[in-house]
Amino acid sequence: MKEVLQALNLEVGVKGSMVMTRDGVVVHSEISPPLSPDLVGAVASSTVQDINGALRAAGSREFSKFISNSSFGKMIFHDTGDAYLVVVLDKSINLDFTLLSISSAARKIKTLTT
Amino acid sequence: MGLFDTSRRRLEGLEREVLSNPTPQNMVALAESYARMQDWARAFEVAKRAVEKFPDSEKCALTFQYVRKTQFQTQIQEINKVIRTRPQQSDYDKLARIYLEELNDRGKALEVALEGLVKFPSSDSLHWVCAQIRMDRFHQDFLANDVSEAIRHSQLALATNASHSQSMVILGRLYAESGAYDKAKPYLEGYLRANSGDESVRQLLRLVEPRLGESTHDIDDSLVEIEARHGLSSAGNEMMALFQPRRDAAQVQVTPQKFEAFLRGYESMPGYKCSAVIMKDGTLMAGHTRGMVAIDKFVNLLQNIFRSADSASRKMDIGSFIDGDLETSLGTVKLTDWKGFVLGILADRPAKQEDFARSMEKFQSFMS
Repeated sequence: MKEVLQALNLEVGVKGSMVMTRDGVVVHSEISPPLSPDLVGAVASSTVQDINGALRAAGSREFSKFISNSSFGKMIFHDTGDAYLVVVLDKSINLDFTLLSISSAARKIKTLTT
Repeated sequence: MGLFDTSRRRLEGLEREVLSNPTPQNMVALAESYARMQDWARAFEVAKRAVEKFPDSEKCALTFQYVRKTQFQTQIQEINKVIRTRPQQSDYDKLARIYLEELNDRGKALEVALEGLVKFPSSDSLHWVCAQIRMDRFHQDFLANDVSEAIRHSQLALATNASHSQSMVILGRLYAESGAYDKAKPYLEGYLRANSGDESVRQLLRLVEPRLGESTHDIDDSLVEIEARHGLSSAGNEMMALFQPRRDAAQVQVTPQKFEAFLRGYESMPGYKCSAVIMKDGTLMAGHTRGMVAIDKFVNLLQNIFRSADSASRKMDIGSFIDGDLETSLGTVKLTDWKGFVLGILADRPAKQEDFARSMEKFQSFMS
């Protein structure tokens, strides 16, 4: 898992990545300064739980992918079966290309965790 | 010859379209066409106009950065090579300024400046770059953390170089815009001693002096108010406007009935299920459903996604939420924040990304 995340972090615009369970527990994190692994973990965990809670209330299963675009960066949550791959990105990236790498990393993590 | 004629006709068509009805899409398409023809001067000219006309458009910003980056590629590569082998403070400074001033890529400029500060922690110019970017970010998102960081970096620049006038003006502006007029005054005066001809700063000082008695005692409280209001006070706005063209920050006035009529128009979108418009505080403006999903449940979902994503952005120090895509078993929820109104659309197959993109553009045109 460490190698998958480290390889993903080499992609253009990727600032850090982590894997967390669906209930928000960090499994492995490759987040380096200036980002704080604890902060990213806490923020990602609360986002996953809030959104999935609202989805269950709306009669849906948990989400499979969430792309959040902010004024100075992006966050992507990608389903990997029992967990989510969370990726922090620069604002100025070609998202289509980066998404291919993220999906590929998510598939690899899925095979590792199942 | 035929192919050449076709692409020339397409280019002329695009040029006419941009002249008659410029949109982010057609301006980006025209800049890209020029870039494909290696006509970088025209590509730059169109991309620059696009960024000026649509400062909030990500597509325009990315196209501008791409064109500019191509023009600066050699210089950037050379500086990066030096930074990898024998870095000097001036190399980081040069690179950060290229990203900031030439490419308008504040994210990358901040990254370079922060990296430089790890090696050269007392560089006044790198602290200034960070402070300038934080101030620009504050003027876009009005987040308290950006002001705190801008103040911290400006003070560190002044600790190294007490006559760093660019840092003085940042402190003067930010304290004044936050209502700390007593704190702003000495910095503005200090700046004017070295730059007596700067009329904007002189005018700012003229606005600050009569308000000294109204100075806020706690800048943190004032920043919390600014962040909650998502904008400066009227006095703060007047002060900010001295330095930059007033952006169209006026709240759009649309009645819920108009929103409802607009949302009904989405029924023609393939796979459409429901849509809603909420305010940033979660207040429902209008909703519409085809019946497969109850509107109250969708609104609750939209409120939760927006609140959660916006809060995550702020905590992560990446600004405020702009838009997002959520893939669920009900379909895809696409949401966007436009001028304080958050639109969410839920659609399932056969809806494609292009359908969502068109729907979002329709909303932006409607709000314009």
